[in-house]
Amino acid sequence: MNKTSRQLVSPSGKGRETMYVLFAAILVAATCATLIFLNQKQSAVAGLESFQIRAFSDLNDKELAVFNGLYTAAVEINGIHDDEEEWLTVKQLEGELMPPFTKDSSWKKSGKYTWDRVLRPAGSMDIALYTGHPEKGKKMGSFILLFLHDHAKKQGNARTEPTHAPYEIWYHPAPGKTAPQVATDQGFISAGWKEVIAYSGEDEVKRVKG
Amino acid sequence: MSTVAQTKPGPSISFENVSLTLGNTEILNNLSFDIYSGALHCIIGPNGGGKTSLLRSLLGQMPHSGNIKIDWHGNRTIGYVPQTLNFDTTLPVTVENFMSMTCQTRPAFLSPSAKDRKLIEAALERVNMAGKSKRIFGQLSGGERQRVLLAQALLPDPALLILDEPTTGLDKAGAAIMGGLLQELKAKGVTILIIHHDLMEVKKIGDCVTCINRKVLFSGCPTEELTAERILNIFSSAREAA
Repeated sequence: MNKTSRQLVSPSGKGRETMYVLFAAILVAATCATLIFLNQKQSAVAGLESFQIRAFSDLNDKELAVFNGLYTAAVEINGIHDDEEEWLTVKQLEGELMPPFTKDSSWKKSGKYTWDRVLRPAGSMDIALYTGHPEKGKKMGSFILLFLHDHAKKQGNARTEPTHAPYEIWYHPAPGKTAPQVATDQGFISAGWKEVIAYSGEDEVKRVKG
Repeated sequence: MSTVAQTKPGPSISFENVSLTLGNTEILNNLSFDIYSGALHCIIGPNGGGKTSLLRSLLGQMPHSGNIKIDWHGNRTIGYVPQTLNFDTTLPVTVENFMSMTCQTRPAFLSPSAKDRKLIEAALERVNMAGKSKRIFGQLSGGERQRVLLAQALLPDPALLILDEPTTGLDKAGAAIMGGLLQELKAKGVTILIIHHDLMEVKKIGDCVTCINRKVLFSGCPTEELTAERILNIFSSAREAA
């Protein structure tokens, strides 16, 4: 009645495990390679226009400090203008302890820039220029913080996107360069000014990754 | 007390030229010996001699070479009590959960069915651990844990019981329970393979003994093979006695 069945104990692995692991490794590598190949994009580096310069590479340290101050102040000035429809004067900005207008130790180190505010309303365009020149003898350029607000677009129910950035920062290597008469991009460009571009975190990621 | 309903004898096992090399280390070298059906076969030998590796080869857990043949007579259940159990003692696993792993197909964290619970209780009772099924497994003492390991090897009824130094960590009462159980299982025809260090015990309970130190030094009846001179030779300097 007792049926005997013989079992031959198979050794563990017996070479198959190594093969399975190797196969799995090849499969993972092949899948990754395929996915990388399929998802590959030519990382197009956002290039600069001929009239633009890059803040972090084309300005010296002190100019960069001034630019950084302007870049932050621009947000504040723009916000206050939106709320109260006035352009802060240089005196007010100094009173608000806003760099690069306030005359603190950083201001002294960064070329002791003298600032001047000019308003040039033109039709529906509300234009403000904050021009800064370094102390005489300093080898630093001139800056203009330019605000261009087109109030015509705010009227009625028209919902159009602004065609121009609310503010721009322009640079000229000459320390005493005055603002151009025509406050348009073309006016600045033909007078030898360069628009300073600072990449935001998101822009920088886009620029690097494409 | 017994719930073992073994009617068919346990298997006989034949090791033929079994070798095991892990990396560059030779663990077993050309072992050949037989284990008879229903016998209580003891494996002895110095530490590091390859005893546990031999058991694991028998369980198919080692990349051995040579042939290990098991002639089954019906029931093909193997009960295995490991030398040690490496696990996190803080795991919230009760004795019942632990036992469930061996006798139920659904996840162990689910309560066992009434039938399985009965079996678990009976197995625990056999190792004198009745009433401790709700205890956290990691909080048991070494001896209690060893008893639970023995109990799990009894579920379901094994035809072949493999024990790796089962009395390590057991107190006198535990060792007595173990001895009684082994005799009971042997009477039912279960083939039992034990790694043992207590040579007096081997002489007392063993039908056969095989001494291993990378290769078979001797194999046969304990009363004939276990001479005082051999024992001294093996365990004093681990050199060959044969």
